[in-house]
Amino acid sequence: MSRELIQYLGGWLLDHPEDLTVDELEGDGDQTIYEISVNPEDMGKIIGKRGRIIHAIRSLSRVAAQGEGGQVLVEVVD
Amino acid sequence: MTDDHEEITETEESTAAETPAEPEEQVEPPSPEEVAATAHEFLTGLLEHLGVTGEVETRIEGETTHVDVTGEDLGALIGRRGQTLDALQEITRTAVQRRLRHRVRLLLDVEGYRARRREALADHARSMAERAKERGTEIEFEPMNAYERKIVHDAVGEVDGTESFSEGEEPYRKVIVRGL
Repeated sequence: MSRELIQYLGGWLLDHPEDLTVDELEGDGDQTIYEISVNPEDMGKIIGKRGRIIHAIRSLSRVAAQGEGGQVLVEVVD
Repeated sequence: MTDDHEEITETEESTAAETPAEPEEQVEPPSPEEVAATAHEFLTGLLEHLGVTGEVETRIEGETTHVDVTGEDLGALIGRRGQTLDALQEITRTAVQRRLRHRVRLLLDVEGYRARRREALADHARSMAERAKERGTEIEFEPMNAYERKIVHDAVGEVDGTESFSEGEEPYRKVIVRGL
């Protein structure tokens, strides 16, 4: 669910959504880690001013994960 | 008094708050109807991806597009003290701005949370203003964002013999009400 959510948001927010990748890793317990990678030109867009966009993506990913009873961690990687 | 004016200008700008669009991408300002339609499209898709069932309604007041999401069990979209709602509003506004390539004025509410909070906050502010007036003292509010500070300033403004101003730096900026 969270992967599709992140891809959906990327489609709206990024200049190069085709370069977006979302890797899904297993974390501790029932935690899932999503590693997002974007075109370098989109780095500022995915993070946002004062980190507001990545913060919002994290909040919404938690909402999506709650429905499935899991926890999520979203990180942007270079 | 100068403080008040500055405060009001500041809050008006950040109330229907906008993240700056990229200047080089600026085109004709979109109509509020375009903003409403784009926000509706974005949120409908977003709710689907969140696995949440809700209705998205839009209405236009002046230059601001109001978007109301209603449904059952939407508490998760509001979050603790409205934090998830703030995130939802931020990302909706940004998505609409990227699509329309222009700044937009957009306010989002879920299940009338902001409307209720606005009423409760205004009631609280008026009673604190009355108290400050009776005692001839200052009362300090907890830190609030610009939108909430404006609600407090407006409510205090309804109580004669009091004034309010803001102090401190974001995100700890707070309103102080003073009995005159």
